[in-house]
Amino acid sequence: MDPRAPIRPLLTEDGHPEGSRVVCTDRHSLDFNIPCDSTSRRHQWQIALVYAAFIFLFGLLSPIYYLNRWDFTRQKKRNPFYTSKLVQLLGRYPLLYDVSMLAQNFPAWRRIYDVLPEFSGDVLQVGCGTGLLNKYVKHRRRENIRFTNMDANLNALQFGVRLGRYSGYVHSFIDKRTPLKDQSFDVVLFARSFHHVRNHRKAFAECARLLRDGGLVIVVDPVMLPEYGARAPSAGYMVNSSIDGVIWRFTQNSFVKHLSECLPPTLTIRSVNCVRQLHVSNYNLFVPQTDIIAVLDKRSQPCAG
Amino acid sequence: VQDKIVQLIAQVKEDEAFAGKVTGSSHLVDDMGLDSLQLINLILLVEEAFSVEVDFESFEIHHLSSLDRFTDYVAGLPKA
Repeated sequence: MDPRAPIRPLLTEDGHPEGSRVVCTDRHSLDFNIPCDSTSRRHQWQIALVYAAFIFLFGLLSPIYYLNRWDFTRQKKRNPFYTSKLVQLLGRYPLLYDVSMLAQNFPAWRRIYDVLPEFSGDVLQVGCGTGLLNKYVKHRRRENIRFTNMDANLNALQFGVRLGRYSGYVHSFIDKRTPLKDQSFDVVLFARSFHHVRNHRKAFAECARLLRDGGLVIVVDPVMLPEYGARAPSAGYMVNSSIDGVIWRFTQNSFVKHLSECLPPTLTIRSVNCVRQLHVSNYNLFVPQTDIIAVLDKRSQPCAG
Repeated sequence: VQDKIVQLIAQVKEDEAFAGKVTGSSHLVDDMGLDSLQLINLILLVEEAFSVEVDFESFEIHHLSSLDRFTDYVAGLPKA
């Protein structure tokens, strides 16, 4: 598929920055390929099942969670940006990371990337981790995608190669100058990695350098639901999480505002969709989330105005 | 450098009159009341304003023990 083909919008929503098109599905009901009908009994049962799974998993893992949190709170008195023991372990042992993904993505392990719009060509995957998306794409026999896999975690990259999920990688940060050539990609993809990137302004500038004219940036990332986000600052902000490290947090609106503020003149927002897939990460009882899907266009000339 | 840092702290605290309330010996947490969320966002602003990069792993709490110390720390960071 041509990466320049239009991305199918869902529903429109007003009140967002000029120049951006924000489209949102029902925030509370859409899930993985199940008709968007939050009142259906089947759907309610599925939600109840995911909540039950969350409670079971949290019960099972709570000794680890609270031990880690106790150490994290203690260490943060010395360094407010301390990386928790759990996050260190997940970074050091990619197998552990993959296992944790099984819990977080339950029961949508194989469908977690179904929210991605179609894309093809030369694709830079930023934050490829252990290659879960590569595995997904292989499983669906999408042969028109040529991935370049980039991550800051060398352990995860080497693990991905060992498992045959990809054969080569780039060990680099997207918010620093990468060793890749100008205009060498049709798509730059952030599949659930965007909240880990520290400086989005620099990251987008690098994306603009790496993309061919007419290329796309695709960002799929979890954001907080409005009812939770209502207590959060109106702008995106960074937190030091005991289970995810120093990360960005957004609501749907602050995400779009943040994008608009960080983009270089040659990148523009084409669309933003929200899809709440049914899995444990989205339906957790602490920070309920939904997936946001943003598509940005690269133009050769900056947009007028 | 210090004036700019005070401006950035005022921005994080959303308090325009903040500059008049601090001295070089003010503690960023105890006296200025910056919480962990505000600290991270201050670091991001500092990185942007001075084109430097803060290493979160090696950061130590004593850099926050006074505005003077924090200013010295920022001034000593290598350019990104």
